[in-house]
Amino acid sequence: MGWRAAGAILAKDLRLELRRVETVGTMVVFAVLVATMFVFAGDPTPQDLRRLGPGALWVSLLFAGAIGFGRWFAQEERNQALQGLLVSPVDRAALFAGKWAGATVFLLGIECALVPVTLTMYQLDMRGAWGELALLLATVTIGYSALGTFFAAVAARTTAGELLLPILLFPLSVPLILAGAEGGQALVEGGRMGDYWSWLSLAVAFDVIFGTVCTLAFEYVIEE
Amino acid sequence: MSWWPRSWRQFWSTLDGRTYHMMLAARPWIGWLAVGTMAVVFALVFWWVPLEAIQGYPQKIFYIHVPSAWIMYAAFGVVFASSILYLWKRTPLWDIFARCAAEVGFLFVTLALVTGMLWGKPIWGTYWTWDARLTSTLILWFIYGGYLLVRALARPDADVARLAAVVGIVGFLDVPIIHLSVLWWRTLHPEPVVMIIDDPGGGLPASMLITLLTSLVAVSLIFTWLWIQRVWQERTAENLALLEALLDRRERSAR
Repeated sequence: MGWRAAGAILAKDLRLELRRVETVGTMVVFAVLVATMFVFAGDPTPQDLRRLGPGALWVSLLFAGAIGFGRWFAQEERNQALQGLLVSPVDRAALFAGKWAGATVFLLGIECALVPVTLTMYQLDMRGAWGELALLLATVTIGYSALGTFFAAVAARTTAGELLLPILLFPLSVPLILAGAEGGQALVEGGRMGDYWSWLSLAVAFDVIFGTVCTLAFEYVIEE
Repeated sequence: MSWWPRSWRQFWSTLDGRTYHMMLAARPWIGWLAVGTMAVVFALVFWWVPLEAIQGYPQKIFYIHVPSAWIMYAAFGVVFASSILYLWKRTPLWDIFARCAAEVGFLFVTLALVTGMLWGKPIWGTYWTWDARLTSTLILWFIYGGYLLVRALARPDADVARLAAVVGIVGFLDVPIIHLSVLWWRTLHPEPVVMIIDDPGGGLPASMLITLLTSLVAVSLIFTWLWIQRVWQERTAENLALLEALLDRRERSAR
C-alpha cells in the first residue's frame, strides 16, 4: 500500500485544517455544548452526574464526529478535488488510509479540549487512570473515524448527505460507544479493571475488523 | 443436460439466471405450500399445543415471534451473500436479489419487534425493556432501514447497486459484534427485569417444539414466496424499462 501517498493526504488535510481552524474549532464548541445540554436534560444530583458523565462524553463526541466526517469528506467534493485524487496514480486503500488518519487526528484534537471540560463539568474522578483513559479514547476514536470516513463517502453519494450519515453511522457504532461508555464507567468507579480490559479488547477487535473492511471496500464506494 | 454448466466459470457467471428461473418455476408451489403449512400451524397453535402453565394464552405469540426473528437473520444473510456476488459478478440480478431480500427482511424485523412488544406487555408488564435481544434487534432494524434509505436517496449519477452492496456487506459484518457488545452491556449491568421465560428452545416440551418448527417452515415459505414475488416484479419492471427505451430509440430513428 502506498504509505507515502497516505501520508501526503494526511499532511494535506492537516495543513488545510491548520490554516483555517474553522471545523475543528467550531466542533470543540459544539461538543462541549452538547455535553452541557445533557446536564439540563436531567436536573442531576452529583451522583447522577458521575453516572451520566462517560455517556455524555461519548454522545457529544458521536455528534461532533457525525458533523465532522461529512465536512472533511465534503472538502474533497469541492472543486472536484476528489476527481483529482482519483486520477492520480494512488491506491484507493491509501486514499482511504490518509482520510481516516486525518479524521482520527482531528477527533483526538477535539477530545484534548472536550475531555478535561467534561470531566470537570460532571465531577468525574479518574483515580489516576489517565493512561487507561487515553488508551480507551484513542482506540474508540480510531474505529469511529474509520466507519465515519467510510460512510461519509457513502452519504456524499446520496441526496440526503449530512442527514443520512448519522443514520448509517450511529447504529453500526454501537459496540464502540458501549465500549467507550462502559469502559470509562469502569475507570471512574475504580476497581473494575477486568471490565475495562474486556471493553478495550472489544474496541480493539472492532478497529481491526472495520479498519480492514472499510479500507478494502472504499474502492467500491468511490469508483467512478 | 443442456442446462448443466460446462465449467466453474460458466457455473458462476450463469448462477443468477438459473437461480431466477428455478425461483419462478417454484413460485406457485412455494405459495400454496406456504398457505397449507400456515393453516397447519394455526391448527396446531389453537387446538393442539397445550396452554403454557404460567403465561397462558399470550405465550402463543411465541410461535410467530421466534420464526420471524430467525427469518430476519436468514434474509440479511441473503442480502450479504448477494451483495458480495454483485460486487464480484456485476450482473443486475444479484442486486435485485439483495434489494428484495432487504425489503422483505425489514418487514420481518418489524414483525419480530412488534410481536415481541405485544408479548412483552402481558408477560413483562411493559412493551419495551432494554433487554439484550430487544436492543440488538432494534439496532438491526436501524441498520437495514439505513440500507433501504441509501437505495432510496442515492444521487441520480451514483451507482446505487454498488453503494448499497457495500452498505449491505459492512452492515452484516457488524451484526455479530453488536450482539456481543449489547449482551455484555446487559450482563455486566444486570437489571431486575422480570424474566419468566427461559431461553426458548432449551427444555421446550416436544409439542411446543413441533409447533415451533412447523411454524418456522411456514414462515420460511412465506418469506421465500414474498422474496420471489418482489424479485419478479423488479425484473419485470426492468425489462419493461428496457423495452420502452428500445421503442423510443426506434421511433426516433424512424422519424
